[in-house]
Amino acid sequence: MIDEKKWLEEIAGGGEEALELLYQHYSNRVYNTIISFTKSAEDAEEVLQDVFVTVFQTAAGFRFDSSVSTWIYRIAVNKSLDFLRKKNSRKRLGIFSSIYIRDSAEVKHDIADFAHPGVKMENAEESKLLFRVIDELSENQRTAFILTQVEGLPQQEVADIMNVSRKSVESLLQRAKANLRVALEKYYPGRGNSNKTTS
Amino acid sequence: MEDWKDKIMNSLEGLDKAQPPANAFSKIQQKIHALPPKKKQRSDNWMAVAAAIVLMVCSNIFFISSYVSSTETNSQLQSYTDLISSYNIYAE
Repeated sequence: MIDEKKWLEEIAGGGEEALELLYQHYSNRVYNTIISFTKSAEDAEEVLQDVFVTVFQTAAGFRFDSSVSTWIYRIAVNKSLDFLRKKNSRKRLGIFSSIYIRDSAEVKHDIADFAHPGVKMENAEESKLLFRVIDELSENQRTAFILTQVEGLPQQEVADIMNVSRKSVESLLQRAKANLRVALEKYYPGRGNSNKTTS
Repeated sequence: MEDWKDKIMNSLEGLDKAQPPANAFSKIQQKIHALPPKKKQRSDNWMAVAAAIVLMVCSNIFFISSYVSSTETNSQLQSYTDLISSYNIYAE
């Protein structure tokens, strides 16, 4: 049986072996969550490193008010959102300068064609479309959607991670799904018709 | 009509966990070793905060006690004045 409390105490004292044990236990789950936010393996690796460095630095302050899993997921979500905010602000700066260079009101965003490495082959194309429109969601809706649908966490654990009630998570998830459907319709207006005619 | 949307919305079913690169932990170790020693010892910061709080509390106590003693002196003076005037009244 794993003793996470002992691991954290050792990490707080500078124990790297305990950190490695914690890493081996949580890295897949944390990485899976992060890559769903960043939609890039390189960026996800950078954020993953940042998460475990933060765990190492703040282990001494962890008071076991929540489970270790919840705490690590919370750090991962916050780091991912921070990373995206910084990236988007850099992108906005680029767009702002492009207005002066190109003299065009229409600015095209470079939407990455992200294929989640764990997705089934037969769902690959559809999941790419889904990950494209996930950016349309608010941060809270996106977090609730990723943690429940991609990570497969129960709503109560997601509520603990997001520090909201379970009802709020349920509501966020419903709104996220509705907004994703609207976004899909907006981005791919002719898709339903073309499928109908070809099949 | 909504089939294509349902298919997209359900495309994450049966998703496997993505695996981080094999050398990710060694990079984390490198980052930890590169941390400045100050960041590893956070208790120093707490000591500074605690010292500032103690200093603030002490200065407040000193200020309040000096204020209270000055008002007490004033009220004593006032009562003496009242007493004198009372005596004057009775004297008349």
